[in-house]
Amino acid sequence: MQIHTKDRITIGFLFAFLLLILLGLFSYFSIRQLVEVTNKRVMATALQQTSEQILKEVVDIETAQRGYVLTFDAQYLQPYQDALRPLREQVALLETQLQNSPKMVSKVKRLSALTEERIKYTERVIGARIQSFEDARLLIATGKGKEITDSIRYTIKGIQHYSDTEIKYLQNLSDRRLATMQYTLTAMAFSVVSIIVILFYTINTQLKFRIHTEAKLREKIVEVQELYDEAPCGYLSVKQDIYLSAINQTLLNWMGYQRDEVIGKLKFEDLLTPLSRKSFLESFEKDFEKYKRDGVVNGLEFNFLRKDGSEFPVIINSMAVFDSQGQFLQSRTTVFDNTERVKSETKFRSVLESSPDAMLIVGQQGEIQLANHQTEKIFGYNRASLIGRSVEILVPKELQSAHIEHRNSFFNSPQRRAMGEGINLMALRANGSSFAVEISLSPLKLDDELLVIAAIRDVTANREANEKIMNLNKELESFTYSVSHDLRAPLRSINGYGQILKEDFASELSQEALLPLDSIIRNANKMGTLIDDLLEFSRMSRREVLQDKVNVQAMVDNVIEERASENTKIEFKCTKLDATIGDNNMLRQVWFNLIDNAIKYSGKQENPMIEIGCTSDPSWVTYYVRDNGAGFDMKYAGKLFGVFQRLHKMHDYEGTGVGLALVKRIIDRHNGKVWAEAEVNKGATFYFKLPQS
Amino acid sequence: MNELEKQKVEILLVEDNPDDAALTIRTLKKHNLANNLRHLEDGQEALDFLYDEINPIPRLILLDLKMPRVDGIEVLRKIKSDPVKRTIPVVILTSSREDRDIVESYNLGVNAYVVKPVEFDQFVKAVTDMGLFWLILNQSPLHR
Repeated sequence: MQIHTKDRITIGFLFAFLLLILLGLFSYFSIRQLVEVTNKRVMATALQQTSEQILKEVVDIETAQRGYVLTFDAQYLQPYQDALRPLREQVALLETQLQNSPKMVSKVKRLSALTEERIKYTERVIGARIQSFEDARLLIATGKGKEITDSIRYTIKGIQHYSDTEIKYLQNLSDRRLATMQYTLTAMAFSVVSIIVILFYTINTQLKFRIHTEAKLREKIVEVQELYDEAPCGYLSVKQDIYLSAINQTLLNWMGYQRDEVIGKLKFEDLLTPLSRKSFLESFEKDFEKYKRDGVVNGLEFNFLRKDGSEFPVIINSMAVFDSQGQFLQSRTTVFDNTERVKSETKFRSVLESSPDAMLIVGQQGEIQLANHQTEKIFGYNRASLIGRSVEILVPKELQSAHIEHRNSFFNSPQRRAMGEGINLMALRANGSSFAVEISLSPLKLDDELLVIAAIRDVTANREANEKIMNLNKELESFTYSVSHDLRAPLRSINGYGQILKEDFASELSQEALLPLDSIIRNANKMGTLIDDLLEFSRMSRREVLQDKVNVQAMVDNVIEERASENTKIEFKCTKLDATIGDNNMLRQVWFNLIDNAIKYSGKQENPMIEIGCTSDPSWVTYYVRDNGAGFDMKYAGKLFGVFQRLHKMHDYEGTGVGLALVKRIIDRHNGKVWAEAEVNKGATFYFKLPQS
Repeated sequence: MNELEKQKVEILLVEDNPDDAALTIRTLKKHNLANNLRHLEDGQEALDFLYDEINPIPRLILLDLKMPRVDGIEVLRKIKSDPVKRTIPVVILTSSREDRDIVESYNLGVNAYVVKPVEFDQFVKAVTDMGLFWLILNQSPLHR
C-alpha cells in the first residue's frame, strides 16, 4: 500500500510528538524517583543523628546518676532531669522514622524498653542513694546499669549499621538512576531531532515538487487555453442568463468580432441570421428545457451572421454543464463551419435534380429516403408523400414479392449493376398504370449505413422502338427467305429452258436468235449471282459472330493455294501472319473476297503481284492485301464499301459490288476497321484491323 | 398399280414447282436415272404415297422445302421418326440457303442438303452427281 507524502509527514509529526511526551513522562518519573531516594537518604541520615542523640542522652543520664551517687548533690540530677524528655522524644522520633522498616521495629521497641528500663534503673539508683550511699553502691555493683547501657549501645549500633547500609544502597541507587536517565534522555532527544530533520527534508522536497508541478500546471493551462482558442472549430459557452460567457478565437475570427464585443453582451441568438434566429426562437423554450434535461444536443444546423453582415452555415453540438446539485451552469458548445458540406450537398442535389432519370435513395428496409423531381414527373407522386414509404409501391403488384427478395440480395452483395439485366422491367405509376423502365443500382455507403441509389429511366419509347426494329428484322428475314426461294426459282427456269433451247434446238435457230438467247442466259445468271451475294450479305449481318481461335496464316495459305492454280501468272508474297480471335467462316470470307478482288484488278498487269502481310501493336492487329493492279481514285474511296457500289465499268471488271460491302460488314461485326489506299493504275492496298483480346 | 410397277419406283421427287421438276427430271433422264421416278407436288401427296402399303419403298427421296399444304421439313420429320422409313435416303433439293433450314434439316437427320444453283450447268451437275451417288454408289439397308 502506498502512503501519501502528506500522510507520511503527519505520521512523522505524530511520532515526534509521542516521543516528546514519552520524554517528558520519563523525566517526570525519573526525577520523582530521585527525589524519593534522596528523601530516604535524608531520613536515614536523620535516623543516625537520632540514634546518636539517644546514645548521648543515655550517657548523660548515666553520667548524671554517677555524679549524684558520688556527690549526693541535687545539682547533678539536673542533667538527668533535662535528658529525660529529649530521650523519650528521640526514641519516639526513631520509632516513627523506622515504622516502615519491619526488621527495625523490634529493635526500636527493644531500644525503647531498654531506655525506659535504664531510666527506671537510674530512678532506683537515685532512690537508693537518697536512702544511703551504700544502697546505691550495692545496686550499682549488680552491674545492671552497665548491662542495660551496653544493650542500648549494642542496639543503637545495630540500628546505625542498618541505616549505614541503607544510605550506601540509596547512594548507589540514585547514581544508577541518574546514569540511566542521562542515556535515555540523550537517545530520545537525538531521535526527536532526527525525526524533525527528516520531516524538514521531506517537507522541503515536497515543497520543491509542488512548486515545479504548479509551474507545469500553469504551462498546461496556457496550452489548453491555446488549444481552445486556436482549435479548428469554434467553441462558445452560454450561462443560464443565455448571454455568451466564453468564445474562442477561431469563432471570433470567423465572425469578425472582438472578444469584448461578445462576452456578456451578445446572446447566442444574436449570432444567427434573421431566418435562423426565427426558427431558433420559435422552439427555444421547449428545446432549451429538453437540452437541460438530456445534457446534450447534436447536429443542429444554423446560419451564422458575421459582423460584416455576410453569413455562413454551421453545425452545432452542445453539452450542458451542471453543478453538484444538478443545476444548469453553462453550455459547452462546438461550432463547425459547414460551408463545404452545404456546397457539396447543393452540388449533389443539383446533380440529383438535373438527372433525366428518376433517382431514389432507398434504405435496407426498402424505405424511400430521397426522391428527385423527375421521380414526381415519371411516377406521378408528390415527392414528400413518397419519403418513408416502401419502394415496392412503385413496383407492379405481381412483382412486389420478387422485388423484396432481389432488394435483400442486393444488400447482401452490394455492387453497381443494372437491375434485372435482359428482362423487360416494369414500374407502377401513382394512377395504377405500368410502364417500361431500365434501372441501374449503385450502393451508397453513408457512415455505417448502407443505402442504394436507384436511377430509373422511362424506356417506353425505347422498348417500342426496339419492338419495331425486331418486327422489321423479322419481316426482312421472311423477305429474304422468300427472295432466296421464290426469286431464284424463275431465274433457274429461264436459265434452264434457255439452255435447253440452245442444246436441243441449236440447229433450228439462226445466229441472230442465238445471240439474244445467250444474253438472256447470261443476265439470268448474273441476277442469280446478285441475289446470292445479297442473301450472303444479309446472312452475314444477322448471323452470330463466333469467337474462334483463327489461324490466319493457314487460312490465307489455303485461299492462295485455291486461287493460285487458276492464276499462275500472279506472284503471291506473304509475310508471317499473326493469329487472331474471330469467326472462322466470316474471316475466311473476308480473305477470300480481298484476295479475289486483288486477283481481279491486277490480272491485267504485265507482272501481277499480290503482297499480304500484317503488323500488330498491343491493342490491334492490322492485316493488308496489296496489289499492283488498276487501283482507283481516292476521291471515290468513300463509296468503296457500299453495297452495289462499283468504281469500274462492268466490261472492264466483272462484279456485283457486294464483295467489299460484305468485307466491311464482317469487320464491323468484329469491332474492327477496314480501309483502303490506292492510286489509279498503281495498285491498291486494303487494310483491316481487329482488336487484340 | 401392279406388282411390276411397284418394283419400279426408285426416286420419289417431291417438288411443287413444275419447271424445277421438269428440269430435274430432264437432267436425271439424260443420265438414265429417271426411269423409275415418281413426281409428287406437295408434302401431303408424299406422305399419302409413303404411308400407302400398296406403294413400294423408294430408294431415294428428293424433297423440296417450300411447298403448299405440308412442307418439306414436316415430311422429313415424319420419315426420320418412322422406325422403318427413316433408313430411306432423303436429299433436300431446295433454293433456300438459309442457315436455319440447313441446321433444322440436319437435326432431323437429312442425308444430304443440296442448294439448287441458278446456273443451269451447275444445276445439271448437282442433280447428276446426286443421282449417281445415291442410286449407284450408295448402299441402303432397305434394298439389299
